[in-house]
Amino acid sequence: MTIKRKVVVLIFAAILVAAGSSTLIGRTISKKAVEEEIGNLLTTIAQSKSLQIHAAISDKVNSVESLSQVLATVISDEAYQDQIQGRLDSPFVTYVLQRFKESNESIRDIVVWNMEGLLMASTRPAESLNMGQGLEEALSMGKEKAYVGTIEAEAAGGGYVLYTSAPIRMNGEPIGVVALLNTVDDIFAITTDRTGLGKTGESYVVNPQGYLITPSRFLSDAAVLSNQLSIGDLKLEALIPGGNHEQIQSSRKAIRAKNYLGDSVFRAYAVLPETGWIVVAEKGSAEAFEPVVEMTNTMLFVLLGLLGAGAIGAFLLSRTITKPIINLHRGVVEIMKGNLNHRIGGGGTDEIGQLSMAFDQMTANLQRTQRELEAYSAGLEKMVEKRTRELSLTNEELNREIEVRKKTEETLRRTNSQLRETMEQLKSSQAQLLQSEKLAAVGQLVSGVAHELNNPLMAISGYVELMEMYVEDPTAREDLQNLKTLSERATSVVRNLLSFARKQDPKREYISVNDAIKVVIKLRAYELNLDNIEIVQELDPELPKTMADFQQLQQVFLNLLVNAEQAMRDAHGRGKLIIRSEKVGDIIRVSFTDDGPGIPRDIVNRIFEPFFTTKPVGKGTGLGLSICYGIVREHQGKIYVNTKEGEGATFIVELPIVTKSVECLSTG
Amino acid sequence: MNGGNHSRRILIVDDEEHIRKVLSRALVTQGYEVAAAAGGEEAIALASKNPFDLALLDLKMPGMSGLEVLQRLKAMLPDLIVIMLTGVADNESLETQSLAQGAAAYLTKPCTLAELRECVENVFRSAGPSPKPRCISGA
Repeated sequence: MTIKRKVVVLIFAAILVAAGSSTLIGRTISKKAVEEEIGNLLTTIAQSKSLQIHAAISDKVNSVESLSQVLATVISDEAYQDQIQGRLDSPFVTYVLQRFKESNESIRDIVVWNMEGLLMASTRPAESLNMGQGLEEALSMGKEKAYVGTIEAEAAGGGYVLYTSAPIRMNGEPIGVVALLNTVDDIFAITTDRTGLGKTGESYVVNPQGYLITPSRFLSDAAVLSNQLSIGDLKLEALIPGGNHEQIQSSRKAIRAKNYLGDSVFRAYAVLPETGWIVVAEKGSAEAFEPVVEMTNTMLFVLLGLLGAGAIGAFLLSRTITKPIINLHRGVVEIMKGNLNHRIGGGGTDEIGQLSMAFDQMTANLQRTQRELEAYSAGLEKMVEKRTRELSLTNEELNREIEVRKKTEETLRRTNSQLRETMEQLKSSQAQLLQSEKLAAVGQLVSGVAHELNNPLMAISGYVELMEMYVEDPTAREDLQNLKTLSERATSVVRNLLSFARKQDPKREYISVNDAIKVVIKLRAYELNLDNIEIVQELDPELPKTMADFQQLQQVFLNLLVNAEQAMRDAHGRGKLIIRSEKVGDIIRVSFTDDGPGIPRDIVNRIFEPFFTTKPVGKGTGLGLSICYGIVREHQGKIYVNTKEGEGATFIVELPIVTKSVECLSTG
Repeated sequence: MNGGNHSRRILIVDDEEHIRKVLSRALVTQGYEVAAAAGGEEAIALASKNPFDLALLDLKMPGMSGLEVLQRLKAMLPDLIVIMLTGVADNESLETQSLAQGAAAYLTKPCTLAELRECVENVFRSAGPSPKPRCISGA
């Protein structure tokens, strides 16, 4: 809800409450005043009319009493005895009656009866005299004292009459009754005088029997008086609380009631003591309250006017209050958007004006601060940018340096590993060199020894052969044979020795290493089967051929096979030998893996030495592996063993792959 | 045994006396005329004085080497058939060299007398320098 709406609603509510309550209060007060006033008015009217009617009736009673006295006097008067002779029915009485009637305009007719009720005299001819109820009552009631009857429509002459009667006394004794039929114009004039009763008010008289006896304002007289409308019919029950007509007393203030038309009226009444007539004064409450309604309407108009004025006033007021606030709000919104150039302006002296001024001041400060901040921020950004640039440059340099270092490190690592590798190779080469040197030295020694043995051996065997030609003695021949065998054995040893030691180029042919292996296995098949040795061949069918001495390779493989065979057989009477050939890089590798006892660590380095043998004397020359070593070396290859005591041994022969064309080229 | 051999004259050159004796006797029994020399100079002196069909020449000798003797003999007597006696321990290239320089064959010591005789016969039979068989191998 905006402030504007709130102000308008507030003002409206204030006006509504003030004006509404004042209208209500005014209405209540004026209503009360009206009620009081109308009460006073109606009471006054009722009482004054009752006084007037009382006076009129008193006149009529006085009139009948004076007539009765006149009649009594006339009858008893000596002077008139001749004519009357003490009789009421004498013409003179009638004459007196006529004279009395003529002297009083308010008397329409006069009737005189004797005590027995016989008509004595009348101003009207007896035949036109209608003895109605009123006349009967006047006769009967008038026998003892003066009586006032009721008002009746007179059938004969038309119009309405009021009966009054009084006894005619002679010497204190009633001798007859005189009754007057009084005109009621004076009474009717009183009741129909509606001064102060407005358009709807009226006054009328009700007799103790409850019958309306004066003309009404809204009913025809005939209906009222001839039809004898009762109080009940006239809905006048309010007049007679408790239904006791006799006890009705004059009201002190007006009451609210319904009239015979059913309209709401204010009513006051006064009771005539002699006759018990009730004089009623009424006024329609609608009419009575007309000023109140008018006043209320006026007040409502005023209220409407006030509301209108209030609306305008509220609008204007709210404008004056809310417009600066709205401006202020707009200013705040603008600043929130970031428009610090916005100014609210309007230097009022009120709180909002001051607030606006303060706000503008604040905005200006803010703007200044922001500018300073921006300037600072720009400087900062530049600085950061510069630093970032520097940093990124440094970073790049660092990265480059790291790259370089990484590369260097990598190179170092590679170099290192190469170095290590080289060192390994060196070590291995050194070991091999040592071994080779050792073996070469042994070879030279052996070679020398063998050479020295050649000639004696040949000479010995030669002499033996020569001797065989001429020696006949069987024992001598047997000795010669033994000599021959022994010298052959010695020759064989020397040959083997020399075949290890001698430096001869192998016979080079383009051969298959696998074929050499297969031939050897075939050669030993019988023995292998005999010794329960299982051969597993894992020969690479793609193994390339190479230039080598087929016979020599056979010799090497045969040696390795026989060694393994013997080792396994001696160890556990059976065995499994895996013979594998494969191409590794540019070499051919052949391995013999047995599940024999392996080679003890302390001798593994000596097995390729000539004459080194673990076999019993006479069982082996100790030259087999030396010869293998020599052959493989002649092929520019390597032979070595991997073994662990108790877990078998693997002899490995590595030969370079030499292609035919290369060999041709090298030999020319 | 072989009557064809009587006209053949063989010169044995070896520094080892017993080799000279055994070879001589073995060849003599075959009907060859045999002379022996203990060294290269002696052999050349003999060869220059006497005609020989064949020379058994030890490759390894003190003083003049077998190859040198071979060269000198072949230079002097181009038709002389030479069988080189080589030790098993000797370098094979020496054998190859000797064949290249005109040796008809070579024998590897130690060898049996039977092998010797067979080689000699073969050499005479083929009577030409080529092909130059290797008469015997140690195997």
